[in-house]
Amino acid sequence: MSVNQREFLQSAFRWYYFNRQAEIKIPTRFREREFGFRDFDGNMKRHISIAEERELTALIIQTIPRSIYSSSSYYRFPAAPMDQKGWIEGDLIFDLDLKEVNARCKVKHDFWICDDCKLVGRLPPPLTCSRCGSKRISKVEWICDECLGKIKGQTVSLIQMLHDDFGIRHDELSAYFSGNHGYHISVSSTLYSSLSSRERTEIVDYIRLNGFTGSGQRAPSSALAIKVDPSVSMDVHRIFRLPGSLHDKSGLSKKECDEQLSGDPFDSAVALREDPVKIRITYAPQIRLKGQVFGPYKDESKTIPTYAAVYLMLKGLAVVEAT
Amino acid sequence: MTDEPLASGDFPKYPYLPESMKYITRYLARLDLGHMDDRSVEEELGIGYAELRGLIGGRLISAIRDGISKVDDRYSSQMYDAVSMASFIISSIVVRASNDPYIISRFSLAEGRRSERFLLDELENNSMAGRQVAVYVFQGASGCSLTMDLELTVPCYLRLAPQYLAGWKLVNRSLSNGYVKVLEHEVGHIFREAVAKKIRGIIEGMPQPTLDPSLKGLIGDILKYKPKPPAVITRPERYPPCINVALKKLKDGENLPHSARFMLATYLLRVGLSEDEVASIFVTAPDYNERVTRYQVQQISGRKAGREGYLVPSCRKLLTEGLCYRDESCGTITSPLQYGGHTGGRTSASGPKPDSPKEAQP
Ligand code: SF4
Ligand SMILES: [Zn+2]
Repeated sequence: MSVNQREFLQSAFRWYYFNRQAEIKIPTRFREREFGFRDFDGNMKRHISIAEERELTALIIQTIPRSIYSSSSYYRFPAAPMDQKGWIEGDLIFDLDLKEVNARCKVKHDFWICDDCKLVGRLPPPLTCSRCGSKRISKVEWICDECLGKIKGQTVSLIQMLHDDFGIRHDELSAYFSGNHGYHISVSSTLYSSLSSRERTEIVDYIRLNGFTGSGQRAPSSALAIKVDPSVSMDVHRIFRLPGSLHDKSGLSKKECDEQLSGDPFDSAVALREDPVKIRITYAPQIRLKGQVFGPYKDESKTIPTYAAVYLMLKGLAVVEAT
Repeated sequence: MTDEPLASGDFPKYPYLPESMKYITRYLARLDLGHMDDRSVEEELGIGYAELRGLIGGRLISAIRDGISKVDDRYSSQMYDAVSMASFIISSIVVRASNDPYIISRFSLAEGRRSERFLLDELENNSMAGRQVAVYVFQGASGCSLTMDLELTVPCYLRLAPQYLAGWKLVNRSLSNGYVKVLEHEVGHIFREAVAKKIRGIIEGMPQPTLDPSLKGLIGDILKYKPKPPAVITRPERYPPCINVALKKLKDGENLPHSARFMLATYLLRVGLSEDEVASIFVTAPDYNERVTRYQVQQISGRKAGREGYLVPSCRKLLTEGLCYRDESCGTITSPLQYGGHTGGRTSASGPKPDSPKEAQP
């Protein structure tokens, strides 16, 4: 990313973190959590601990990171290296993402792009670009109403299952739009928080129907596989995007939802300002943000609101022309 | 439920519970295990020392040889309580003195099986009082509460259920409102293992005792029943450290976790051992059961069913399970099968490393 592009993106993020500070949700028990930041050059800083709420906001304002993370686990020494942190317990996390939910519309809207000559094509991607011969080919995942609906449906089923089967209370569960292509469920229950990684894997297997024989005590009728990402739930040392912070692949915010996931996240999670900006777009399928449809675009210059421009830039499909 | 569901006659059935231990220490406080004599034993317990030693020997030998401690019902009422409790405690002390992981695990499990029978009796007589005792004792042994309808909370179930059979996997159970229903015989199974774990903890927490020579002699008597490792492992230098460490622990009679047994079975089958040979190496496991072991090895190998069989876990997976003992001889291999320059086979999906976690990017 050229300096110019990076500065533009960072200034868009800066506007948000200066003017929408109240959106940042400082997590409960923040003193026991590990925080992490990734800057706009891609450098990751982990093992950060926070003694006071304003320390976190100050850090964000000072550095304007591209991503902000906090751990789902609680530690005695959150700033220590991983093996000396002293794990106390951890929330139970479920991640539902387009990657896991094989939607039919995927073939219609996902595509590949050559990082060098910007040639675009339908999946599957070739090994080398047919125009310039480059091996640097990226797959771009897109989202439409159909796959968003599918992932919402699975997430709502999971929330129901967590209540009915696992006895999780409403006040112990939070649901979030991830800020990009999925949803996040976080369960904060004293009963479940001490589960080991192996025990969490058993829960994931239950949800995904891994190892279901059909001959046990569970009725096949209650058996509907929900494609949560197994590695996210079993790894108790992960850090997760902080609620209210911006997603580094979209510029949308990670936003808490009600349990029905009502509303359109591509409306409510739009977080950046409206100010129009002129960008050069290589290629982009249609996307709806804040009720307005953008694209499809192919090889053209456009003046569109900052939030839409940033969205396309973070997907690697556009560059800013003039600011 | 009453505060004290156990009557004194229940103590010998569940001798590892704190109230049982408290009861017996009253009798034992004045015995000197370093110098046992007829008179003091007679005074405390009402039987001679030779008779007590016979009981202890019987308990220990049945435990190690048969895998279940003998229930002695020759004595009745109060005297029985004290004598039986004394035989439990002194047997445990002898086991501690043996300092042998196989003997410790095997004895603990045998006591678990003995106690399980009493628990199942309580459940089978189908009375309210029986159930209350069962629920109470279950909690004492496992630290988890069992409801009167025999349900466990999901976290308790996950902690206590054995890991190696498909029928126990959570995915095959019916869950309701955070509870898992367990059948009577399953309660017994879970209970047995919880008791074994508890007793192992008690024994391992004891200081090394000084024993009367006649009690010390019992150690040699029971070691005779410790199984000999089979001679199927001929070239251990060709195996990677993870396999050799697990084999050594198994040979020493340690109670290997399921993940380690799975690793051994998949690996040894892949490098060419027969199902029978692989099954035989587990003879030194304290919970060895020939039929179950054979069945499990067959399942893993898949040869009989014409299936492909389970894959050897990857080094990454073994690292997360605490089973990797990488040294320079491993180099940069990613599967134990690649050890010693072999190209290796396919390994199963790997989990993330615990100490280099990735951040989620959903
Ligand atoms: S690196 Fe692989 S082969 Fe070596 S000890 Fe670890 S798990 Fe075994
Ligand atoms: Zn779609």
